[in-house]
Amino acid sequence: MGAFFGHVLGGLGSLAAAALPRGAGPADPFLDFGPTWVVVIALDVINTVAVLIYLYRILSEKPPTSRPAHR
Amino acid sequence: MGEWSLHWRRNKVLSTAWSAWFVNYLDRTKTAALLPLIAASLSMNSAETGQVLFFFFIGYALIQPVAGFMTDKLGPKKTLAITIAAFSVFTWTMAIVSTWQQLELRNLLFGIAEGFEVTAGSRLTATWFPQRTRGRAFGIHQTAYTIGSIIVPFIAVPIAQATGSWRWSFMIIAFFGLPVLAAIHHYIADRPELDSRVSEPELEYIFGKEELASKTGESDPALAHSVAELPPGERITPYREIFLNKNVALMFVAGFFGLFATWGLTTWLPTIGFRQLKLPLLLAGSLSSMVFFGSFCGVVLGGILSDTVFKTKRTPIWLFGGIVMAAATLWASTFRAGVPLGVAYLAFFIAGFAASCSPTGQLFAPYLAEILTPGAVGRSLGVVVLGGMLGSAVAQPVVAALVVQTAAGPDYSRALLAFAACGVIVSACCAGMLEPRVKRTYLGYLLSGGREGTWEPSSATSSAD
Repeated sequence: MGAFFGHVLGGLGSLAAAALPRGAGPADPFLDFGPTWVVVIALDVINTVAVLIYLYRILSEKPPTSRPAHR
Repeated sequence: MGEWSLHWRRNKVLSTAWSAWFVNYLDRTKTAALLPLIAASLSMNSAETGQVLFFFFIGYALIQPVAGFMTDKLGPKKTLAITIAAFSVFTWTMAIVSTWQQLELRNLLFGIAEGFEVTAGSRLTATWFPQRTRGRAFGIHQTAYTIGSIIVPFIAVPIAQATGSWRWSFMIIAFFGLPVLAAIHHYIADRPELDSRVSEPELEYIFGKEELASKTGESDPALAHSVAELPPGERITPYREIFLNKNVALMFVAGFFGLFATWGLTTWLPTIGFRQLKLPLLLAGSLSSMVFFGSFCGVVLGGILSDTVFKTKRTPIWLFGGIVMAAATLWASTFRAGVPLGVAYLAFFIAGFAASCSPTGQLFAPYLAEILTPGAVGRSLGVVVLGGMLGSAVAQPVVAALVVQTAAGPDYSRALLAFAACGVIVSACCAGMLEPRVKRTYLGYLLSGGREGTWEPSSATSSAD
């Protein structure tokens, strides 16, 4: 099944790659990011921590089990 | 001010659900937009590229029944938060892959993570909006997937070009989930009557005074035994009515063929434009954008027409959609090299417009809320979307098998004829669906000269006791 997908999308990929050569770096992400690797790690940590904080706050909410008395 | 405050809370909930759906689509379609760069970077061959994409579809499809149950049991707010959090994290992990196998595994997890959004967003719209405006509200919700698909190349590709690496697009887009999580935290509540910020007039607008006074419970409609146990706007809907339901089964089949045609068409169209119509690559790619632009117009107009002209009937829009999509793709199957670009744009705009007028394009949340109950939208929609996503997955190999090699190059006419056949099947399924507003199928209603039928939900008698 993958081969069928590839027939379509791989073909498209190779066509588009010729039009957009810039942006395809080496397979190794360390090499690809180069000296910005530290920034990448920092952004990943910031993103994950912020996501987890929001998720914790939302999941720890106690939903009301009855209608609020006043509006 | 008074009129605006009457709709204020509902509109905030809708805007947040819209943002979540928009970021979901932005995130998932960026992988396809960046695929040429990723494939070059990871030295992926055609089969590997195909497998990576297939794993997303399979993960997304198979999680749907679970997502539906989770939405109804855990609540749409928490489900929405979990999905946004999960795909935000999986997005940045995809930026640090070094082999296609790593990307494949992450794409599977990414598909699973993204799969929870549609049921949660749909359930919110179904619960927060009254029947008379539900079609329009859900139409607005559905514009998110069309806009996301149209603009993603203009976000993901420039970031990759500006930074020199596709990985930065993943890194940056991973942050788009944060403001959505903040909005979910501040604005979303599972049900309007449980939110202290909703005014009494707004509650009365949503449910009606009598409904609000008579139903004060909080039980799951699938488990409730009496009307008194129900929240407002709900009716008793046991599990057998949700899952052994002819209309849900027809939606599953219509979803399969509808998304087979939609995703088959949008995935293949650039190739058809380039190889068969001999268009430049950029113009060939723009044919898919026309499909999505047509879909944008379709979801907006379909919601308005359903609520106003058809007086909250939903199935007439779907009946029309399948047939018109069949006609448009039938027309497109006659296109050959040299077809005027304007004609091709028009045909694919109509195809996109009509394809959106299907049971997996629009109005599915209002329909399920009305044929069942808003509190069962998650579970029933999980079944319908499963059908649709399986159709999306199998569309690719089936269409590939329909390509005929000719002296002038590959010919895709048979694939377009297959999409036309899908349109006819979608309309046939919709013809058999009950239209709750007239208590019979819409065709039956038309053929009987506008006489309403006698359908009642199977639980109606017992709930009235």
